[in-house]
Amino acid sequence: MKKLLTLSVNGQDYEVEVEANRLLLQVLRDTLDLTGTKEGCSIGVCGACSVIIDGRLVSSCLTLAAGCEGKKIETIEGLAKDGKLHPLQQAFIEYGGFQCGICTPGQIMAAKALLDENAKPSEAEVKEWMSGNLCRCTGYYKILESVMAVVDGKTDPDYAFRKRETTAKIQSLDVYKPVAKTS
Amino acid sequence: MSKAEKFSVVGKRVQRVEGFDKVTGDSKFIADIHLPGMLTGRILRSPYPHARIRAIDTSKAEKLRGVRAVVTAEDTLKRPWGAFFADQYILSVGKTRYVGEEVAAVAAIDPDIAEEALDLIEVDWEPLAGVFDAEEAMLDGAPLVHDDKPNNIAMHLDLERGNIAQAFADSDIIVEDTFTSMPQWHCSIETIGSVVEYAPNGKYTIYMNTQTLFNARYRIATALGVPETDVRIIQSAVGGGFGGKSCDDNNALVCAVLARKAGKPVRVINTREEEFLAGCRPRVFMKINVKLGFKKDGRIRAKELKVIADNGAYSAKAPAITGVAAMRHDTCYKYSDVKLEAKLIYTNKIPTGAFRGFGNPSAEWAVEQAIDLGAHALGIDPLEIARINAAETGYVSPHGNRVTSCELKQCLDMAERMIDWQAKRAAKAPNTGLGLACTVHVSGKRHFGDYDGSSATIKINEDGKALILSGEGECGQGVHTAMCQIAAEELGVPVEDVEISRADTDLTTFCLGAFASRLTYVSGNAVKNAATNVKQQLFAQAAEMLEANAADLISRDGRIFVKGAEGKSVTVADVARARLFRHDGAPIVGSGSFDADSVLPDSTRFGNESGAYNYGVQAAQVHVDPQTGEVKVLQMVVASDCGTVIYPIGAEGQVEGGLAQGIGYALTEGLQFDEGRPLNPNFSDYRIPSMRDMPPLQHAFADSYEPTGPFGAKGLGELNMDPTAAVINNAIFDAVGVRVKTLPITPEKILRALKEMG
Amino acid sequence: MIRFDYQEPTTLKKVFALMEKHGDDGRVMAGGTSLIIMIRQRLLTPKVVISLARLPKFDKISYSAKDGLRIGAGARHRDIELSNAVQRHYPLLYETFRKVAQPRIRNMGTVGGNLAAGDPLTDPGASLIALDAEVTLTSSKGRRTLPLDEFFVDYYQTAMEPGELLTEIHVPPPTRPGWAHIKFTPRSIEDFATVGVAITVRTMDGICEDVRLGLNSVSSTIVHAQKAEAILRGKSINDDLLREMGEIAASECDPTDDNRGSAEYKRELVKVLVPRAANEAFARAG
Repeated sequence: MKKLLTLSVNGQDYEVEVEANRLLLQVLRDTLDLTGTKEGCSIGVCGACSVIIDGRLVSSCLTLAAGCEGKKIETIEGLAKDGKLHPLQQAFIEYGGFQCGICTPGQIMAAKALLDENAKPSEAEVKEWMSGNLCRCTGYYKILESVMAVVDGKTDPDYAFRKRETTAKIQSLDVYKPVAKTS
Repeated sequence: MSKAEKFSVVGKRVQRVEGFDKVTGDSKFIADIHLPGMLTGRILRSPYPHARIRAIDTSKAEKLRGVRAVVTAEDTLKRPWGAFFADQYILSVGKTRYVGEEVAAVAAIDPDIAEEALDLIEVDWEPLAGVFDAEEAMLDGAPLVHDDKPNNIAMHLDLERGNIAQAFADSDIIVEDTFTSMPQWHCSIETIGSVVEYAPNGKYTIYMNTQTLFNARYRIATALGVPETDVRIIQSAVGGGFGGKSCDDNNALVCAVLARKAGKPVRVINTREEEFLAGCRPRVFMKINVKLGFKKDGRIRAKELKVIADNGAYSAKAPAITGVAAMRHDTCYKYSDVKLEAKLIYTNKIPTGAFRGFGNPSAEWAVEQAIDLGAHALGIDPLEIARINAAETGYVSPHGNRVTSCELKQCLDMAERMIDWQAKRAAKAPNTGLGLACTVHVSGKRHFGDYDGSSATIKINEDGKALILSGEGECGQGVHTAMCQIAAEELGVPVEDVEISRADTDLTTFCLGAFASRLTYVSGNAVKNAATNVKQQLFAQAAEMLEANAADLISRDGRIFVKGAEGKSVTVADVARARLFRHDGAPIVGSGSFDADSVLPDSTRFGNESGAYNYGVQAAQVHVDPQTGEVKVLQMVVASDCGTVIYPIGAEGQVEGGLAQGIGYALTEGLQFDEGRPLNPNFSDYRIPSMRDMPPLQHAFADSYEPTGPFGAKGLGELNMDPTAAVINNAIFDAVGVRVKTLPITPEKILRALKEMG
Repeated sequence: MIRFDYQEPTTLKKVFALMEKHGDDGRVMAGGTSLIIMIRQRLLTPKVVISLARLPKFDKISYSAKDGLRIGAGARHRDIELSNAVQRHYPLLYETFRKVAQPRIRNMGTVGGNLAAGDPLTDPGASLIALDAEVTLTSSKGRRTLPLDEFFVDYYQTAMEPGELLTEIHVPPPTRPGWAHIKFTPRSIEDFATVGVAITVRTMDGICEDVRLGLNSVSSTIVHAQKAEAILRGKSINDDLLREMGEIAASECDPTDDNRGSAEYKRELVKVLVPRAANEAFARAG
């Protein structure tokens, strides 16, 4: 039984026609090609599929897409704006809050939901909240550190992603001219 | 100043190369790969632990609308394959040997249809009696898992070095006990999966989340009966490996057979349940009897180990793992006389295999507790007995392992300081205790043919950036970042100017992949050698431009100049362009390889198995609730000797993550079986630690330098998985005086032991 | 996953009409946290899923000093946890709901869905029993109320008749100020309880005037341990009495072996944790 739905994802409306049994996770990934949301355990335990719906953190693996009509859905793809990372994304790089990265979108969405609700949680509150998102690589220490760095305003304001500015080092961009022998 | 401090890139807290992709969700894991026309594959698995297949009827499934291919063993060569013993098939031939074994598979246009089609495949089963316990499986008359393996023995190892009878006779005290380890699953948050495209010209292009591409290619080509060149493996982002994604399972092979038959790309991703039943090969579980003889002063005089290991239905890497469990730990302490006997036994359970630690966690669970027993029997501080026996640089183990750097004693000092061992021991609170254990691991292991090497290529792009081409792959541990640092250090360029390719068997040169904590050491050496090669080419060109001798040049921060005359310099970019844009122009590109100075163990398993050995110490303080048996780990400290730390964020992550898996192994994990059927194959019933379950942790790295390592580095990845269970159990013993002998150490077992003690 | 149709009725009347129309082929879904798993595992194969998510005010939580707390069955665990009235007047409920699963599941799962699922491993039922809660069951024919301890019948079975829907949970004004909740989760804090204990007490001059004890994860249903309560009422509190209470409570349980522990161990835990919880509750009662 197909359903015609309008889904609002990261501020953009999508019209989709999907089977009524489709999970939000599947529609995000397979229909909208938003593959940042991951499937880990399929039973709501691991948190890899975490998204935010109407301000609430939920498991998209236990959410029917058909029930999401008219709701505001936030996924990891909506966090970075104009090529600039969200402070949590920046902190996860700066403080090494991931290894393989499969749980990372879920971790970051979980942390975002917490900070949206409470900008200054204590470390104990962060631990309690983030314990719903499993990670097999990190032992969690650096995830906690990353979230606390945002809470405590310890991220580097001059942070830049490591790529992107090497062309300046090339002295001559014109390959048809002989390269200067010295500089 | 330690040797590491003089580096400009190595040892710095650089950004992870894949950082941006990982935090934005842009990283393409296997389930994120979508090819045009791609079908979904699903696998029909054996519901029986041991059963004959009388017939399979796939006709109804084939007729279901949307189904594009249904395959059984008839669509394969029925050729057995395996890492060490060829004993498993792509799809069951004649009978199945464990619950979850691949029997048939379908590819359909939609996952729901694929699932529906599985229901329509009719199998005529004849259930057979099975064997589920390794010791029972060895008995005469036990059902045979493989008809050609009498008493279900897959491997039998029996060795003596020195004179064990004499050594025990010389001992002042002897301790002996038996410890049982448990099946532990990798529980990567990403399951195993593959996407295969088959071209009519006979070539398979396989996207895989494997951690060992070239080994995977060899096995897949063998099982499919095609030359290796006809199999191209491209690594997707890997969502956690830990040994589980080293291609000992059939996922990619079934996918390949489906893709060939369907004539369309097919994706097969394990569900979480499939991952538990038949995906990653869980830790080999063992029963280990350990007997140690000590001199009165605490020196170990003799060691005897008897290992019975559960192989499961097929062998994967268990033969090597069983050998490691029996022998590796003899490199941790100074031993003279040792004896070991190890039996690897087939049972009708999931094949066991490689998981971080590779036999060492089972061995250290047993041996590090026996050391603790010895310390208590002799009345010597456990920390002191470790110090007395600790290996040192120059030590050669009874099996020929040659130790070229060892800071185990430094690690003991560090752990002692971090946990405040002496003060805590002096002020022991009720039901609170301290424990510690030492650990050793390799940096690569020579066991796939006489090779433990790696190769890499570096090319300098026209903009001056270096690109490393390496087939070792990245499975989440951060090794690509470490490789970029090593190349940058050697080339004298900023780390931002080095990138690394994804692993692809068509585009990169041969190497073995991520196992045995080998990449930083083995691949790091290959990358460094490639960088040296490239640097020579850069200097030759730069010498011409600077009108200087190449031998007088140095490079720093992307510039090349004459030593002592830094005002006059050229950039790497200028050099690369000057070398290219001219008559007879050529790109700057160079390869490097490395093969560790190790020895393929002989028929008696004698020989230096690895190029370098890494060491560590863990200590814990625990509290035990004597009424419920509940254990709370109050504090843990870890000191690790991995030589030079190349990528500190990554190295710290390896320690912390290894410890988390060690804590799960000690206290919470383990799959339960009923007649070979897994009872808890999901994340609700199989619990891995969460953030709140992790104890306060302090850790540090020893000041250490491995002379054969790249910039002094050696392995680290598995080291801190290995000893944790013993550390915690030693602390529990110190707290309440009981010792649970089987993993996991559940509160129920502790309570029972407390009651038995009275 | 099997295919099914999905309906989101906006009135109770429409819910009942759909339930009647589809009979056994229809399944009512509240938060979906257990229903979706059961469908994915093919333990249930409904043809129509009837969602209660768009029922107006179905998640309403109201409180008055006289009537106590009324929780709409569609209230999510986290709504209850964050309710001012709950935090102020029912600290046991606050303490219980904040320990259920993790925030993500508490944001999805509803209290009505939880109770109607009849899963003896979950936490809310025991605490609600300890607070004398009753449930309202509504059908197209009318409504009835039932004390919660009569609601649970067996594993995943409740006293709900076909055509009935759990619509409201009523928790009367607390009459016992002392309370305690223990969720024993030695494997992982995120795990289901190996044993859960919820208790409320009222004392006067060292005498236990009244007590209610609910237990979870120890039987085929959530347990209301009435025999254990009985031996405490009117007695002067001491360790021997509490030990006896624990033993009687253990005899009222019928646990099974599972991967959280053996039946024997769970019984043993009841003997230890019930007195612990009672002591804590008495300390709070003053």
